Formats: sequence, structure tokens, C-alpha cells
Amino acid sequence: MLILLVLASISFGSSETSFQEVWDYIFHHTNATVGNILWYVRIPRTIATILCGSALAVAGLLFQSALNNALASAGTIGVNSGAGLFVVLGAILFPGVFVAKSIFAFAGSLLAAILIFFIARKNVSKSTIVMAGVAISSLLTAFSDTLITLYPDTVMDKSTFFIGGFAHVQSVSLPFIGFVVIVCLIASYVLATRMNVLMLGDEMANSLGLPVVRTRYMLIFIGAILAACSVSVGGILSFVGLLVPHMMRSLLGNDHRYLLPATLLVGAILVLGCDLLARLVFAPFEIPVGIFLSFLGSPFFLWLILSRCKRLQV
Amino acid sequence: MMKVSQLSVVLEHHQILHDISLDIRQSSFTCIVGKNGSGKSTLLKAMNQYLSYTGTIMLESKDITQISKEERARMMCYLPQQRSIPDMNVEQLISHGRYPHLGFSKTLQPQDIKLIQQAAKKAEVENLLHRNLTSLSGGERQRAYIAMMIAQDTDYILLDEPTTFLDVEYQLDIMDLLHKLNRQGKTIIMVAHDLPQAFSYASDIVLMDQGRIISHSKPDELIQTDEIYHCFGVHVRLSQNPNDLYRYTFER
Repeated sequence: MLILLVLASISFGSSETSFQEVWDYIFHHTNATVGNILWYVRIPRTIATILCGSALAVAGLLFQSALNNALASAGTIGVNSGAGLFVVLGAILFPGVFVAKSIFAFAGSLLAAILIFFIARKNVSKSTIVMAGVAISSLLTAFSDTLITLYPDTVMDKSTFFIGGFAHVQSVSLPFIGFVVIVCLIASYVLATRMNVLMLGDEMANSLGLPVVRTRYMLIFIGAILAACSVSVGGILSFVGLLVPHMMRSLLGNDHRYLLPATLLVGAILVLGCDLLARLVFAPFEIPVGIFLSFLGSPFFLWLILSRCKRLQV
Repeated sequence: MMKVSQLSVVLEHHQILHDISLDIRQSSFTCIVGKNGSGKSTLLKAMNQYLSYTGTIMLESKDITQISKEERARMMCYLPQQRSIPDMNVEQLISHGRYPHLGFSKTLQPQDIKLIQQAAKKAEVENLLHRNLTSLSGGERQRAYIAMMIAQDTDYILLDEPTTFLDVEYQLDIMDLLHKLNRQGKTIIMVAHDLPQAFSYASDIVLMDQGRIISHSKPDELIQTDEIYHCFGVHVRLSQNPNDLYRYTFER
């Protein structure tokens, strides 16, 4: 399915380039304009959506495992708010420089995660980290709202970033982001069995020889890097980190050795599929994929949690 | 042998354990008894390195703080009293017992799978392997956890009130299983709330009160003293009725 979506993603778009023209270029290099569209727009965009989808979905799974909280996500631990504040800061310091936005978003996400580590390091229970995340989110949002009040021109940068989308993907940053995401995904898979042991609770995990606090730190750190990579490329895409791990848990159970690769794959499929629809539904206009994900994700997520509650009679 | 020396634990500015010293014999079945709040569970948590403490705990002549977590988990396992019920099946749970024995890749080898099957057989949960823990009764779930401890294959087995909230039939099942493991050479250290049960199964009884050890002796020696009466307000007698559930009975 991912392969089919990749083929569709590079074949269709909002420009009036036909499917036939795309494939003629791929096999015969016939039309240079089509080549430019492919190399500078569609292929980078397709790679970006795959990277962001898989990174966000796996980041959600890592946060949920580390905090033993099914509702944990990049939003819960303050990563999104950190990115948002720094995007506003970037827009004030370097107005109009698009690359600055990506770099600042990345830095903001990481700094928010480091701040949580610093606050929660003395008593790093799962509730401590969630509470620290809520506190930090509020604080960072207050800072960014203050900046927007003082510099009203930056409101557009913040709102476009918070909606999320891939219309302006910069191919220059993709090799670095791709490398970091792949390294983090491999590291996550190495931690899959440890994530299974963590499910037994802190006392039992400790008795099995798992360094509980260190493992939780590692999961949050890798998750924060993955979320930061995604945020720096596509802005804030809601529901991917929440929806995909839940969906996969319902289908495959809780064994992270299978759950993690499945989450990675379905995260990529979901974001790529939604981005394709976002480009085609109102073509030649496109709506940001973040809006599409929310329209699709919210009802599905509601259905998922309500059916789960019914099943567990909670 | 496990040797605890001058162990003190302070939690939230309250001293829970006061200078505890205790030698646990190899292959003994030691039950720790005492009133609620006497520090029994805290002592077990400290032994399992889950709480910070002052003093020393030596395991097989090694300071337990000087050995790695995984090495410790290959020597000693622990079953806490309160646990969340993870969403996994019995086979997955038992396989976690092999975690400290796996290499960096944490992949089960054929010998691990064999040990998991043997552990399931010993704990009599072979027919429950594919059942989810959430669907089991309390007794079945407890047996599944003990199967996990058997798979962990440690010389020391620490348990915090493993028969609490279970029906009598399940309580006897669990105690018989632990007794069998003890006969195979495992050292059992168990916090117990049921005095007749503890006295009937234990080779050694540790009596605690207000964070201190009052007595450490064999059950038959302890019933000759007034210490149980001073602590619990009951007298211990050897049962005269062969139909009684346990060898010891308690009277006001």
C-alpha cells in the first residue's frame, strides 16, 4: 500500500502535469519541466511525508510507553509548544527566512524535552513527567502569545506552522532529517523488548534488571528527536502520534517488537495518503494536510476510544 | 546467603526501618510477619534495590549495590503485592522472566523457550498460555507471575503477600508451589499477613514491629515465647486437630 501511495504521490499533484507525462519523464527523460516538478516538488514532498508520518507515529508510541499513558504525545510533554515558541522567535529574528523556521522548530522541540528532563530528573515518575509537560506547555504557550502580542506580524508564521503541511518542503534539509529519523527508528527498535518489560510496572521491571529511569529517559529523548524532526519539516500534525499507535494496538496487541514496525509503516501510509488527498480533493488548490488529518483523525479516534471503553466496560 | 546489616530507610522524612540486621540462610523459607506499618514491605523493597537506604545488603558475599542490575536479576527475583495488570498473554509474561539472561539484542534463544515451557508446566499454567492476563482469575494470574519468576531462574525469590485477596484453595496452591520451589533449593523470602499460614510453611520467621526486628527464629522456637502475643495479642498453639488447614492455630 505504501508503494502504491508513493507512486500516486509522485504521479498526481495540483499542477497540470498528467500521469502519462510523469512516467514518460521517468523512463525517457522527455520533458525538463516535468523533471523539475518531480525533483524539486513531488519527490521531496513524498519523502518528507513518509519521514514525518513514521517519525510522529513512533514518537507517540515511545512517549506512551515511557509514560505508561495512552494519551501521551508530543503535545503532552510540551514538544509542540516548544516548537511553536521558537517558530515565533525565528519569525521575529529572521523574518521571511523559511529555513530559520525549521531550524528554530527543531531547537524548540528539543529544548522543551530537555527542560522536562531537568525538572523531572529528581523524581522521574510517569505522572511527574506528564505534569511537568502540562506546566511547560502552558509556560511556553504564554511566552509565544506574549511575543505575538508584541510582534503581531508573526501571527501568520505561528498559525501556518500549527496547522501543519508539506506545501513548502525544503529538499536541502531532507538528507539530514532523514538520517536522524532512520537512526532514531533503529534505536527505537533496539528498545522494543525493554518497552515490553516496562509494561509490567516499575517495581517488576526493576526486579527484572531493567534500568527503569534510564530507559524512560532514552525513550523520551528519542521520541523528542523524532517529533522535533517531523515538526521542523511539516509543522504540527495532530493525531498521528495518538491515532496510529492506538490503531495498531487494537489490531496487533502490545508486543512492541511487532507494534513498532507496524506503527512506523502505518504512520507513513496515513500521512502520505492524507497529503495526497489534501492535494487532490480541491485541486488545483490544496488544503494543509494538518486540517485533513484532524477531520479524519478526530472522529476515528473518538470511535476508537469509545469502542474500547465499551469493550472494557470502563 | 543474604546478609542485611544496619539497614535504615527514611521515606518522606519518616524513618520506616531502624538499623535492621538480618541473615537469611541459603535454601530457607523465611516469612516476614508483623502488624500493618511495621516495615515488612519496605524491607523487601530495599532488598530488591527499589528504595534508597543506608547500611549494607550482601548477596552471596557481594555488596548488592556493587553488582549490575541484570546480574542482580539473575540472582534474585521479586513479586510486589500491588501490580497493574498489563495487557499481554501469559506466555508473553513468562517470557519476560528470561529478560536478564538475554544478550544485548534481547532475543529469546531456543533454550529460553524451553525454560519458559518448563516454568509454565511447573506453575501449572500450560493451558493458560494464550489467555490474556486481564481475563484470568486472581489465583491463575498469581500462578502466571510465579511461572515468570521460575523462568527467571534465580536462587532467591522475594514475594510480598502473594496470597492476599485469593480464595483459600488458591492460597494453598500458591503456598504448595512455593514450598516445592524451596525443596528444590530456592531461598524464599516472603512477607506474610496470614500467621497460621506463615508458621505452617516457613522454616524461619522474622517478626517485625515499628521498623525493627523483634525476633528471628524457627516457628517452633517462636511459639515458646510471648513475642507473638505482645505483637498481635494472640497465642500460637500447635494444632491438635488433624483436619485443621494449618499445623498452627491462634487463640486470643
